[in-house]
Amino acid sequence: MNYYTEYNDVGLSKLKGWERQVIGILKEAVKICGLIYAKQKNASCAGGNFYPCDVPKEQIESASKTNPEILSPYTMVEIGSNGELVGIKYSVKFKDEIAQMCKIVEEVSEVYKANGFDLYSAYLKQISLDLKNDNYEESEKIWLKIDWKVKVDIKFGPIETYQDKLFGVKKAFQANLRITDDVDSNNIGEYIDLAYALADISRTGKRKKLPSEKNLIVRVDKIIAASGWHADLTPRTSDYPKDMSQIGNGSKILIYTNNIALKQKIISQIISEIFILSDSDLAGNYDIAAIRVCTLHEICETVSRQEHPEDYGNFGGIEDSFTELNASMASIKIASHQVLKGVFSAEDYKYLIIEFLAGALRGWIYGKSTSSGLRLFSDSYKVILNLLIEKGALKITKTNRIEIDLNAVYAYVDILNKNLHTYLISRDKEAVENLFLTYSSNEELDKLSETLGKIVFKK
Amino acid sequence: MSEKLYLTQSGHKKLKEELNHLRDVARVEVATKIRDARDLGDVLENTVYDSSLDEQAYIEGRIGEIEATLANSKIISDKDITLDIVGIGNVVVVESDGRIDEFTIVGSAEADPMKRLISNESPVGKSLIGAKKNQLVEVKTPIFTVIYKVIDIK
Repeated sequence: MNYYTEYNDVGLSKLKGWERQVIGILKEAVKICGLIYAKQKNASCAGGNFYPCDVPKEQIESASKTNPEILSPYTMVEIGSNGELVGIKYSVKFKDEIAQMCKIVEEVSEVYKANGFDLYSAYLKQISLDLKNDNYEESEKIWLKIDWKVKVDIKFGPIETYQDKLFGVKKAFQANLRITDDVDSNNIGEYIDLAYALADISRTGKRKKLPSEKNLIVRVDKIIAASGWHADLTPRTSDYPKDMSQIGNGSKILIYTNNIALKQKIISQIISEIFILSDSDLAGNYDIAAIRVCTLHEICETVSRQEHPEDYGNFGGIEDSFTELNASMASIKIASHQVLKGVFSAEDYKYLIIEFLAGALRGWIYGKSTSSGLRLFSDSYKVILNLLIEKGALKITKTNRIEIDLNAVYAYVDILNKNLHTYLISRDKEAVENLFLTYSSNEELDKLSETLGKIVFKK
Repeated sequence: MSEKLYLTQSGHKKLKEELNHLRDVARVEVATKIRDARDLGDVLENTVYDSSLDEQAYIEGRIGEIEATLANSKIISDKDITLDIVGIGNVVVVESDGRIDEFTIVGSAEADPMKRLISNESPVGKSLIGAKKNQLVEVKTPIFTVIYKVIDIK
């Protein structure tokens, strides 16, 4: 498996000749990231191939006290010649692949410069240096400032820690190559501004200007190629930076419209086959609801992380799952503010909740059935779905379909949203752990496995 | 357009300004763009020509929309705005669920939630119109109900 996916249906005709040319070259860099990812990933070990599979966690932890390189995000841990654990830097371990990537980005950097995109050119040059130095702060800083006027954008290198289930620190190589979707950028742009403007109202009372708000950039893109974890299961949206230490430099939300459309086919099927809905509800506009769900989720996640960077840092191994759960609940709450203020109708809100629940079911079964990083999303969806089932807001019928009590769904989402915010600001890790434990069972949801499995995993 | 629309004085002024700009500037500019694009030759393969036509259609549509709004709207003047009860043109400070929010109630034609201008026809606007300071107001939607307390009317 080379962990590389290409999306061949993305139209490139509106791009200039040089932009099409760099896409061809950059695809190679995306492929190389996939090759490195294949060497880092190992589904049969909790720590992937980042650590020797048979060395106990305690031994790694203890060795890291004298050799901090062992738990660096950018090293592969191996057993040295004297039997001791050593951390081999990515730049050393993957020297050949990195050399190829550097050659590619340096070449492309010149093309961007020749076409007047100096900042983007500087980003590519810097990433070439960072790949060699195992420190990605500088390139990330530049990348966060690049707006969507740059039509062809690539994000690559060691990014997410999902594959290190042992310590959650090692970053796996991944990449995505995208082009800006001008039509969707214009259509969604206004909604994004609005969602962002409303997002912090529910959190902090009076509208507060966040320090990095001016630096928030939302790119609405189509993915051309992806590798690593993104090839495994390309998400519909992503938010950056991944390192909280970079949050002061700005935030970037990427919305992948072609992938939203792709996944929407599955979600629409879940809506029609799993939920018991009236004909008029089945005919609702779920495509728009999907964009609203994705956009609000990322905005809530970004705003919350900007407001509480240190609080999030306190949640250790459950931080990612907690972040996803919190963002999901906050986004539904924000959507209700939008209804109250006349941004969209109560009908649209109903579709948004149904869309969200269908997406949660898809996320749950996917995470349950794979060893991929989606597990952490699955855990958060499991909490929401199990809680709503327990409270009677969702009822699984004898025919293994779901009846939705929308009023009850809203009520319990509201309560959970408030509780999560309290846990966050009081840094109550134990309460969050208990929540995940209480709603960790697959028993009720498993009744839906057969139908859901057929929809989600059909080839 | 059968129902009466409401506009604050500043909203009315803004719409008049936008209308003047569209009639006197944007219309002329887009006509020039179309002419220039046509001069380039084959209009079938001309993306500038296509987008200019789209722009022209938008401008004409917007002109019609603003003209209809201005013709059918009642202007809320400063003397119509009181601080006793919430009405169009008031800035309202409300509290709900421990959270404070502040916005201006405006007619639907000038609503812009991003700028905290909330339509009198939105669920919140509809419910708050006529409310007094310290009054509790129920805002009902088919899915949920929220209680707002009016903290201040400005």
